[in-house]
Amino acid sequence: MNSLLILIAVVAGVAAIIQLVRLNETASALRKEKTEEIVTDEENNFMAWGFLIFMFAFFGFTIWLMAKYGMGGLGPAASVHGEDTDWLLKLNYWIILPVFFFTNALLFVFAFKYKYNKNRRATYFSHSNKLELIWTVVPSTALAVIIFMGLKTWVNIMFTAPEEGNPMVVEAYAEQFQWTFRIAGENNNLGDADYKLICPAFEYVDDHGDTVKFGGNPMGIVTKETVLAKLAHIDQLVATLNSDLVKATGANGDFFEPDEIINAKMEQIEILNTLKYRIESGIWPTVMNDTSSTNLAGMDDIYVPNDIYLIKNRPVTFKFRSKDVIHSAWFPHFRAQMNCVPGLQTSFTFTPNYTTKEFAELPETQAHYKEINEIHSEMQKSLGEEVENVDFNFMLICNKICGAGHHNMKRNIIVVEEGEYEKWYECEDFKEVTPVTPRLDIMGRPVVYEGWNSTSDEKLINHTNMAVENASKTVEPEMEIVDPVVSIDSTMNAIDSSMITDAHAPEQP
Amino acid sequence: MAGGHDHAHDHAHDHHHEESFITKYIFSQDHKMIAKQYLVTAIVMGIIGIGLSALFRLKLGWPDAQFPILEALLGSDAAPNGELQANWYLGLVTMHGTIMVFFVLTGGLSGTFSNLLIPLQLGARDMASGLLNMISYWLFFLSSVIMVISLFVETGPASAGWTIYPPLSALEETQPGSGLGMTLWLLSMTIFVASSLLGGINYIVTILNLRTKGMKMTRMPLTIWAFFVTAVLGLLSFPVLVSAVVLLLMDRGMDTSFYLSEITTSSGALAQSGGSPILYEHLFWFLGHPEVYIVLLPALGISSEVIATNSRKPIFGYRAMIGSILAIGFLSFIVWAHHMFVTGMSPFLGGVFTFTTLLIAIPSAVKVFNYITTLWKGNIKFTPAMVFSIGMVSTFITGGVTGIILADSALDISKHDTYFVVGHFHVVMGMSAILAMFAGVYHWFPKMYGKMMNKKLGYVHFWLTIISGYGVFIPMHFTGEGGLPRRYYDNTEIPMFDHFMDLNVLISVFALIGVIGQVVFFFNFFYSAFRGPRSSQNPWQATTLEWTTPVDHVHGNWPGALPEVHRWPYDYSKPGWDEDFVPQTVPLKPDEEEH
Repeated sequence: MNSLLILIAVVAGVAAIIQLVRLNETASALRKEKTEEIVTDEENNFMAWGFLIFMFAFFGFTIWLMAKYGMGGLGPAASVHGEDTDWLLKLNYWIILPVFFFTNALLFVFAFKYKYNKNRRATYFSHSNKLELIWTVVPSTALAVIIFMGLKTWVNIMFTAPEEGNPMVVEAYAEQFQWTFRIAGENNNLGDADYKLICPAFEYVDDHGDTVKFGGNPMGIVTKETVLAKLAHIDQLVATLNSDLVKATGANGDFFEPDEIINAKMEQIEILNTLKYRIESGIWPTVMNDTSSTNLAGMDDIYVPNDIYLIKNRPVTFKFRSKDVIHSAWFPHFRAQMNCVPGLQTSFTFTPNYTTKEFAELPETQAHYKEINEIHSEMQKSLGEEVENVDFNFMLICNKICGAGHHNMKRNIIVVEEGEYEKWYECEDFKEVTPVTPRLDIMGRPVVYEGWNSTSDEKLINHTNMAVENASKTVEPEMEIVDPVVSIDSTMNAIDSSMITDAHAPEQP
Repeated sequence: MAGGHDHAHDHAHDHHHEESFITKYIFSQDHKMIAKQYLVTAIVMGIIGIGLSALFRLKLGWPDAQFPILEALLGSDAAPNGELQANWYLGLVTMHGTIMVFFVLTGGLSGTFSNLLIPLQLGARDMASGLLNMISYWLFFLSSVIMVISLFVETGPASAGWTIYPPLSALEETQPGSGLGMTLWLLSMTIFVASSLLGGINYIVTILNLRTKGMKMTRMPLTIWAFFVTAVLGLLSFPVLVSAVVLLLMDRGMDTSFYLSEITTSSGALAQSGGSPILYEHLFWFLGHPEVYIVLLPALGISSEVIATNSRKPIFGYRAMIGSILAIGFLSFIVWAHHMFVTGMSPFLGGVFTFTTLLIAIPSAVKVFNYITTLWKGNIKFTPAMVFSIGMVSTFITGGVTGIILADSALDISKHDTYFVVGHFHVVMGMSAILAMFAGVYHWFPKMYGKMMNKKLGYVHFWLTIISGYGVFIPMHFTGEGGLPRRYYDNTEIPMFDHFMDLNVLISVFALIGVIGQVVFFFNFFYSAFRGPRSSQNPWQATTLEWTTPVDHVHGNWPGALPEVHRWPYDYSKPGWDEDFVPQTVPLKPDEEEH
């Protein structure tokens, strides 16, 4: 009924407009403007003034935004090269803003000034080589400056020698929808990683008959242990599949289950065997020997499923890898960004020159976060929630569309003085410093783990931290590799779900 | 088909008038009808495209609110309780981009005005091949239909962004939209490219071969020059998109690995390995950047024509304008990797592409100053087309200067994929090109329908469009300066961007005003097409050949012999003539210089 009324109202409105337009047209046809001008003087004047007023409004709006949000609205840069970038940005604005205002003003003022007048005739002025030369040469000169300064900064940022300033090496590993890190350990040398070795936590019996509790290998790091564990994991999966097939086979060789299921299982076995062959022939020879360089490089790497710590004034080289789709590691405060591309290792080196604490105390940051907290408290009050303040943190966020959880793929970066870093590094507190981001599934909803009946993010976070701790306890001493959360990416989730969930059975907090 | 001056030919034309409804309105081979078909299809696609943007702006402006209208329009899967879901948000963004860039600004702009104006302004009876032209339109129509159908697929439309970078677009397990929706997207785009290629070949052949007597290349209106270079760009770059799309289809369906390498998804380690997503990005942007100029050049051409006509002044620097169109066309092929500064591409290449990209600013600056000089000491009539063209020049300036920042690789590190980029390319493509398209519609509507559009509604439409356009896109530069990434379903997850909450509301409000503004146009267009007052033969007192044809369309354009051209198209207010315009068909006086 309501929608019918709305429909009638809309139809009546449209009909009324049609009538008005027709009336207007009939009236002007009756007047039959003597001048036969297609645009009346009245309309012409109106539009000319309109342009002039619009110009002021438009400029005013732009200037208001500049005053309120600032050009380079990110606040001060927190890295050495970032200060150069900001200087370059400022230089560019000093060139383009005058051009923007001046050229727009010429356009609108001319439009206003040279509006139609039937007693005047336009000047026939069709070309002037001198003028053309001026506005080829002047922009070219300005651009030469911009290009020169731009390339100089670019070269400084991108072409640093790998060893310059003894950079700390950190790997950022992107996947839908979270970041994890790996620090290179004592030798400052990241071990190899191979996507074929990615493996959930599980238990197996090794060649000596010992039970090995494997903590998982979420980044695919290559060491002897991880290769052996992956091979054992494949064997387990194949064995389960085979026994399924045997159970499903009747006396006369027919299968009880539908063909699709049987075929899918057979196909899985084939895929797993191929994977095993590729690991045995391609990766195993490089780590067979305990003292091989690959093995040594990978052994001491530390997996950080949480916020990462950096040292003030020490260069850091981030190496980026992606597990699934393209992501982009965007560090807004450090003016650093690089895509994470599956199949390609990319890198970016920068030097943070403020600690998190120092940066948080800058007046700009204080003002920024004061404003944010005011907005938050207003919103939380209106919703009747408890007022919570947010604190400043350097951030790593995803800046390349990667799926439904793209907007929530973030980590804090904590910059400290060297001594404090050592403390963090030694006491392994880093596993519980800050809550990890709740994982999202491909629909962008938080993952709710089996046996876990709360949807509250906070509980999920606590739970995840516990999982990290529990998992870390089960790891062999020299292996710092843990799987912090129930791995939804485990091979053949459907088929061996029982096995995997057992290994991870989360406890109620 | 073309160039016949003899009476037998003209006589034959009189008999062609008895056409059935189907051959006249549906499977027409007449370029004027095909132009109208393109335009109406583009307007319908435009309504869908801009409508989608209004829907996702609701979410961005008011992230916690519930909008029952979303559930009503998109269904309870996409927006249960009026809350838009993340996947659908990305789907809407992707479809908005695809529809606006390809179906409205490529198919609609170039398809409509190239078809309408090339034969009319050159003095040809029709396109070189009417049949190809008809096939081109119907392929465009088919691809539009497929693209719209993909919105109704259960798993949602393609949602990997309009650039559909693999592996996100290649693997269904990474997001639901990469299933059937993506397949339809790829199919639709392949057909679309076929349509554009058939159209483009036709435009080039017509321009080179079917110019009437006296229509030298240097006497062609700038619109035709723009359409010519546009068609060449399309012909050289669109096939590369097809190859990118075909390789992607093979990665999706045939287990090849052109773009896939070392990937682990929810279904385990992928067997396909050894490819590179960067290859896709190179192929895509090899089309993608010329595409920007495929959109922009016709817009610049249309504005040149409209500004000269309504300033009652010759366009300033005709030859420099042609030169800058050619320079932009050439440069547009060697700048594509400025979209890829932070992909891990060699930093050396980054430097090269910074250099070539910034070069484009020079011919663009020449064009802007030539427009402004054309207005200087003119006698400007603010017809609706003219006001849209002035708006176009303003947005071209605004979008141009911010482009300088993005072209600089060192600065792009902190601007890449932020709202600064969104603001920049919307000012250029979403405003400049769209405003010029409106200018073209208001200017040549009398030629298409023999009727006048309502002026007052045109002015209302203009003010709503430019105010809301700047109101939406200028603030986006500031959120981008603040580091806010694009394609975020919810900007409030990361607290450092929360001070932009008010600004996001403002942007959304302007976006909704903008949509309402387009309703005014929609109404004006269809009302005037049926009920508008009849136009005179040359309502804007323009010099070009299309205004020498009769108001009612005839097959073959001119009832008698084809007109002969004696002068360039911009003889406005020429000293020595009483009228303030001298049509191209008027012979030079004995002692008159051409220009």
